[in-house]
Amino acid sequence: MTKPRVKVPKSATVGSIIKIKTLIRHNMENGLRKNKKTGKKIPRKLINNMTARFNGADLFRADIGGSISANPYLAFNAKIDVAGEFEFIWTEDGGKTWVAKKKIEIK
Amino acid sequence: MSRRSFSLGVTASVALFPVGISSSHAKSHYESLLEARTNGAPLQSGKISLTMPDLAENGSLVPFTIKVEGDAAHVKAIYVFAPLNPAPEVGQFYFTAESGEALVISRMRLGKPQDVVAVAEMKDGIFYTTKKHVKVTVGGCG
Repeated sequence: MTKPRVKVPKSATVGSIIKIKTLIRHNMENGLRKNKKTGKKIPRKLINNMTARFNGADLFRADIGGSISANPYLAFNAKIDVAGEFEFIWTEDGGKTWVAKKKIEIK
Repeated sequence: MSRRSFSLGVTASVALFPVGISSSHAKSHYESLLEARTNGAPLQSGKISLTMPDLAENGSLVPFTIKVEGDAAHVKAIYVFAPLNPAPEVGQFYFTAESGEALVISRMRLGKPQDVVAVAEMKDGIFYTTKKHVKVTVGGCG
């Protein structure tokens, strides 16, 4: 049930800088928490990367780990020169990925 | 003691302390991680800003905002450290010219009060750093 959410303005003027907000629900288990009932450590399972692309080209990349809070929130900028589509990819330890896409128009 | 055994003793003690050791303490995990990112380059002040609360009520969720002045085209990466956390590297954030302005906003876990450190690596090889002391009431690392 970890469907990522992304907020991107629907349109922007040429040359403007927009802020993109991303959020993915994920426990970000750092391997230090213990199961309160069994006393056993909950195994480490982290989202280790979020990569943002625009019209296929890399825009922004975040390498993160156990010191990032659960439900990782990442906001960053993009300078808009043309209309197009953003793609956001989150990668978990072990290779599982989640993808979200958003379009933007020029006003 | 004979001259020969004296000079052997001197040679042995010189070999135990080779020239070049500069630190008087073992490197912390954080220091090793910082060095790996900066290759020992000098860290200048300026250009990078780190905004965090003075006091984090909940160490599991401490917001941070980092900006580097100027065109993002000049910025290679921002590195963030919480030196006293079990995982002192909080994240590495990489920018492109299409970023416009280098900015990252997120939330970190802090296990105890500490100076959070942010480092910007510029494309010309210069590093800038800033830090912010954050007090924590309830630690958030596990």
